[in-house]
Amino acid sequence: MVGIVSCGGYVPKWRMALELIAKGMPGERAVAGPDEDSITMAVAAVLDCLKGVDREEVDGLFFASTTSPFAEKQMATLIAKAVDLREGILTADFASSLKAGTTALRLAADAVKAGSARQVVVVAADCRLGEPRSEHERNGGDGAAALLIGAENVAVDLEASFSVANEIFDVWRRSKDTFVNSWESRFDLTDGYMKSMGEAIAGLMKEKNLTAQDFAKVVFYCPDMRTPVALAKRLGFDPNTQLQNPLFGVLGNTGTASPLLLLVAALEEAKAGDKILVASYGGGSDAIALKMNREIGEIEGRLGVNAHLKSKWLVPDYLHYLTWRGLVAGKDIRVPFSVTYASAPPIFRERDRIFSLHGSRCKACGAIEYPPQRICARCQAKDDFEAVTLADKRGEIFTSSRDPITGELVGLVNFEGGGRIFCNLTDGDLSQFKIGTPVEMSFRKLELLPSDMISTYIWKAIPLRGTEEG
Amino acid sequence: MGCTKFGELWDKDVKDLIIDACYEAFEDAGVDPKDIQAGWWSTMLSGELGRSLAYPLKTDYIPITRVENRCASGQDAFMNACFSVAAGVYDLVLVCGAEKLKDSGIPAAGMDPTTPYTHRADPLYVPPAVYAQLAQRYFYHYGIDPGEGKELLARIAVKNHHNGSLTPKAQFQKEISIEQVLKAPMVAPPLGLFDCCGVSDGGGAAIITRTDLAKKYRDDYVLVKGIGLSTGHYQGQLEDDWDFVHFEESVRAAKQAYEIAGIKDPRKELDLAIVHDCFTITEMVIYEDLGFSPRGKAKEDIIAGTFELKGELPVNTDGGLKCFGHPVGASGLRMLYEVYKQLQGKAEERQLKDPKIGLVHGLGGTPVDSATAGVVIVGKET
Repeated sequence: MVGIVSCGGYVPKWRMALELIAKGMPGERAVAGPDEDSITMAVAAVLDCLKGVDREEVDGLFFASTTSPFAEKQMATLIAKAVDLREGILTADFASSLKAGTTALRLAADAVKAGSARQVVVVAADCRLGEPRSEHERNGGDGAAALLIGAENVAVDLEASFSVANEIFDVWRRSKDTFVNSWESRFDLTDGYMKSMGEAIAGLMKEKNLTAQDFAKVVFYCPDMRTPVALAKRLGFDPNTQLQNPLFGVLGNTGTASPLLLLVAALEEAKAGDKILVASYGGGSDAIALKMNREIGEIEGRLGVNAHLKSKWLVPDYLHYLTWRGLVAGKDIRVPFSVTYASAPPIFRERDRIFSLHGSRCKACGAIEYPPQRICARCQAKDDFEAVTLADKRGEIFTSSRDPITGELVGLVNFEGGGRIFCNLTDGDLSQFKIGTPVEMSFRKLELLPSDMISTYIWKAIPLRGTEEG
Repeated sequence: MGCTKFGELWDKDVKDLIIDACYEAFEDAGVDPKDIQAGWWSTMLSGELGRSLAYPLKTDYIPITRVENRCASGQDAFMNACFSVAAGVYDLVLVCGAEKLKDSGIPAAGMDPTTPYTHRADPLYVPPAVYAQLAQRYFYHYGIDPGEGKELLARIAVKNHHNGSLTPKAQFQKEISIEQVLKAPMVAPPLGLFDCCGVSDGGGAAIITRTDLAKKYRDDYVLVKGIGLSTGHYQGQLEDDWDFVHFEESVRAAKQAYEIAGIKDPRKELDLAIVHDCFTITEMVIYEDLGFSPRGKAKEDIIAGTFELKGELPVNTDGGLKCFGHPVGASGLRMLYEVYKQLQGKAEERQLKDPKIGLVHGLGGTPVDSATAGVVIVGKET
């Protein structure tokens, strides 16, 4: 049967105390760092999902988000490149709806079922903006989740699905808007959320002759704390035992990523044989029934959702958050090297080393060099190299400091197994990058000048996630 | 030779710096500018083409070569000018280096004007950020406590400020204390404000001729005894065991120059050295790279005062880049100017006792990629 072969999650290290948004409000929400966006979070989730997975077996990547940084330019291609997939694959962006993630999941499963792909990665990520101090901002959260869909070695069967479409102005954002808009919540929740979710779930259960008691866990997209509880009760579920914790006060509503991210969190705790229901919302609803074949914890090395939640750093103040999201103009740094301009052909020529973080291994002497060279720095052998991916290698800080003009941390990292990179360091302060500190690589947004028109991405080193220090 | 005052010269543009430096050199040598047969123009950012030198001086269609090797441009231009005379092609040539950095409005030197269109995939940085990493690694490598390391570097800054206070053409002519250095604002940890050299405007010039013709111009001419130039190929990034506690480029350039000059023990044989102290840590590492101190032992010589004005081998007697200032393309000529004046006994308050041979060393580039090092040894007729 077609189902989930592996899964991964990503929650940014940064959390903002809700107290900063609304006085007296307890809890936190996840916030993408200054160099993170939906793309970087998606890459992190896919890397988590593909740990130990042979890239040759993956025939497609679907990216779902309402906050792709580009209105015109596919970003699934970039995510696929960053996680080192082949070029001969099917890629697609699913956009404009918070249920785009489950829709991509359904279509990926259909593609595998039809035999047009062996395995497809589905990744959903969002970094939505609510107006400052609004409920959208307070309830929101940034994050990403990824699922690998296939027909062999399936951990979680996709048993059935049912979708409904519903044309309604309840929550929307026009192309020219910065912030999410919504109509009065009483209207939104009754004629939007409750109606569509109810119809999709009831439709699924009726079609497959299922009852509420058949499910160990139900995973709902949650616009707030209360409404999903009312929905669960109406459909005959026990909110206390069956409803997946929506992680408000810890993570927040991660938009398009939410149904998949909460599903990954549910899978992390589910037992073999458990049935799980996931339902998404956004201009209708997708309801999907799943069954655990084996426990997801058996997939080695993944951090998933829970381990990411444990490692965190608090945003120092509200102004930092506003600056990171571009809502307040940051300091215009007059950089002495601003005589350079981002240029598309060099980015294209060097895409293997920039986006896939390929180094070169000299076939003559074995040296690993980054950036890749044509003549070996050690033995001068010419054009005798093979590519080696450094993105998934851990490393150690060789030396580090802070640039006085950009304020960014820079350092040299020596990789386990050889090779060295001169790169920026992020998600920590200089004291966390002392000589000898273990680090891993993370795909990040590169801040360019407003005049550049291109926005691009690079790899930086971060303290290991999911450890005491990280 | 000629050299302008270095500093924030708001009232002078690069043409003024060229004219002032070259005319001091013409007058010093007793040379008619019309007799110059060829020119070498050393600059990083202050004027492309040889015409940048021809235009202010109004030279008469003579060949002028522009040389750019960042902070080693001056040594490189000087070397090639010497080669042309040694090869017998010319008898009388001019080397001029000048830089106008202070019109940029930013407190740092500009970088990499040669690749305007890039992928921007490599980290942007200014030099303190990467020389700071040299210091981090040096302390770690030799087990020097960071507090102790800061104080060792402070002693170098204090020494160079003392020497600068005796140098009328220097940008900074003020004594400082170790405490001031330690309390100064941090630039790039562990380097503070006083660990970094000045950003300056300035120009320098030298006139080179054959030894047998030199007597025609003056008795106290200075001889070029040895030259070396070495360029690395990004070993700092590409080789994962590259140690980050030395510059191989400096070692190799010095080796070439020592061989030509017949110097076996530079610490004993040299009377002074003007070296590339872009940051205090750079000077510390240079002591070892040029063979003045054994590896890892610069610390002991710093504490012993070996390189102070009255020490065994005075280094940066004119205040170095730290105090004289660092207009990139001009620095190599400024260094030669100091040795030239010392050898002629014209170094005023900072005059050493009868020096006979001195070394200058320039280092363009950084430890995270690679550098070009240039070494020139000059001495008196013996």
